[in-house]
Amino acid sequence: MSFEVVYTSAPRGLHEGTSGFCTVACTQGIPRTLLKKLESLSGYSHAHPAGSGKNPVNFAHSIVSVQQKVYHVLSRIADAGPDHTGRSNKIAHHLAIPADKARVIRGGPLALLRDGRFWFKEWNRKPTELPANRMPTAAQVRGGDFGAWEDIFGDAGWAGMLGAAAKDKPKPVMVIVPSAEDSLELLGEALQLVAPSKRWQVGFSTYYAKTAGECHWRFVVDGTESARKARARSAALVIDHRAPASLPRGNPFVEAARNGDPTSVLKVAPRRERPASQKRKAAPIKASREAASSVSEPGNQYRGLRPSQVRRKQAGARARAARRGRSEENREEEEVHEVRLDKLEEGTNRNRKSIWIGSIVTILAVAGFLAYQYWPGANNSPPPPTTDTNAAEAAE
Amino acid sequence: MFEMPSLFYSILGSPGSGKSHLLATTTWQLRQTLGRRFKLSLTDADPESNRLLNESEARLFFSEEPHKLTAIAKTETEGALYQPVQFGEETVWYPRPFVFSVQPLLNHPRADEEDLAKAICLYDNAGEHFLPGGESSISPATQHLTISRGLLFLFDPTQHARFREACSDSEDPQMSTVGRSFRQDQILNEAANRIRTQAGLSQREKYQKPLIIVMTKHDSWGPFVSDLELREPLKDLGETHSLDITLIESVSNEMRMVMSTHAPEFVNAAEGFAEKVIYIPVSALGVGPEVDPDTGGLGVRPNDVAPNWAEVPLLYLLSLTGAGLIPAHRRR
Repeated sequence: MSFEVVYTSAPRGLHEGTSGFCTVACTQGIPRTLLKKLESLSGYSHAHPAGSGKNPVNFAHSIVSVQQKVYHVLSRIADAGPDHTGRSNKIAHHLAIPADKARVIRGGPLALLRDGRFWFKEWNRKPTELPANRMPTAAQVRGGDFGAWEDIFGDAGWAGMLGAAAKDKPKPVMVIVPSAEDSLELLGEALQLVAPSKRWQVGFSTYYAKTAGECHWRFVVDGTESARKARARSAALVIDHRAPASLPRGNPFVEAARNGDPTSVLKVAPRRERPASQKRKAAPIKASREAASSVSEPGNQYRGLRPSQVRRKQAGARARAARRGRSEENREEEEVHEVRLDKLEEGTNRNRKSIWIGSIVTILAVAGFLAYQYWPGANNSPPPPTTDTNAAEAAE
Repeated sequence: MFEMPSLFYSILGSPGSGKSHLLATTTWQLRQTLGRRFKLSLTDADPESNRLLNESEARLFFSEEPHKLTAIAKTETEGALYQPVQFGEETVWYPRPFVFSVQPLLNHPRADEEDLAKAICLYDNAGEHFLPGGESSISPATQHLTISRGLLFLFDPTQHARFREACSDSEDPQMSTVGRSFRQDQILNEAANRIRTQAGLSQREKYQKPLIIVMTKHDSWGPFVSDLELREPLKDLGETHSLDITLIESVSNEMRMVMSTHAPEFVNAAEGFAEKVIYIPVSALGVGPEVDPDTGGLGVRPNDVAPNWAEVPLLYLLSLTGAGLIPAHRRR
């Protein structure tokens, strides 16, 4: 089940006694710990006066863990003009989707964030509970070139650095952009370099603020404190529009972005899954040697053939050798299985003997005890000893 | 910074009571007053920690366009003022204090005393944290109340229904804005409960450290409820100056009477909690805010900013708890 929270400054919040920055709407039955977690993801820093219309929108995808349950949190956080006290305000709308539910949503997190009708941009109503399982519609993410990267960074290949950073376990990258308006487009282009199945593993923020969630791609606006910090010290890879370094050569992601062909890095080579038997144990040495000698020895049956024919023949020989190896191994496995059954049977027989011996010993012990108790004269106790007083009385 | 003894002070109050504005003007005023009058230097112990406060000061006192309306953003309940710390899968947000170092200048009469230097730590929380239920396990934002040497509670008369009635002729838009009223006595009671719980005080035991009730936005309500004039509470001693405790306490007595008339429930709450309660009126900006026609928000023109008694609450607190940092005297 997914959960929503709307957090803004209001005269009265949804929960008793709350006011100012507070939750004004949330899904019925949201766990309290998740509610608090989502509230803590609502940080926003105004780059311009509130209500000026110049402040950027932060579209974010964070991965959070609450009570050992992983949620993908989609957030839209933006300026909301002045609040009821005349001071700066923001509106943060979060949608937390359990990880198992999120993975099956096609298009990834950005497709959901692009549904403009779903996300609250202002809150002028009374606090309310939202119905369960409200979900945005995944927008069609159009595949395209890497024009935004080309325009802003002078080389579309920079998008490839984000794709490369998300290849295995996503690593953090800071992207310093001249204006937050470009972030969403840059993000959309870079996400083309991530396989659709892995897009849920990449946390991002188009206007990054310190957050409690996992965030990998962090877009920060030049001239802000975040950009200054990123330039001064950052453990993450920093891509700066003002001082782009040189791109690594031969990086397939960089080339894919430059050529506008993201599919070249998304083509996942079919993994040559070895049979389970081969994973546990290598093919028998004999078979391997046979195969090897048949392929590599000079003066063999391949003489006079064209290289392509040799390759095909060699492949066939390898396959036959592998099959032979497998059958031998299967035979070995069967033998092992039989041996194990024998041992099991032997163990069972041993157990049976032990049970018999134990039973006989128990019966004998019980019989001995009964004989001792009830055999005539066997249990006659001696008369009690007389005391000195009794002896004296007897003497008198 | 770690070589100097630290003095912690907490600023608390309802949302919109003026904590951030007061803090910005207090530090600005202290940077000047301490050097000129008390021969003490006040510097940022960690400019990174004080960045937000310095930005607020710059906005009010170093604006490049001082005739244009400007505003300090509403304090967030998360973000730059807090430090997230990861405990397993749980992230806890701790408030970050503004830290200043106060040291005697060469012409200070006790310049050779090393232990006079102090690190002053001030906490500025979002007002929401002080509302009942505003603190949680992942945001223990107000635990500093317990270790503070004194509390500065900001009472905002423009958020009090009776004061608003008494000042209905005020032109300050804050006096008429709907939805700004708070039961400030309940916020003080909530803070008192948290302090009692964390410090292990019994319900009957009184808080022994000073509680300063800072009555903010004096320019807005002052003329309507008393004819008090705020004179500078300093006396020239030749080498340095001394804080006039007699004047501050007489102002406090007068303010207490005003409070007893308009907000008796608050006086009861304050005096029921703390042993020593002082009421000090301040005006952080000296003028009321204006509505910005472009954005609809409230703002102030830096040209017009003229703080009045903004630094006095902290000076008074330092004189009581600062181990000789601020000399003080009583008149006969």
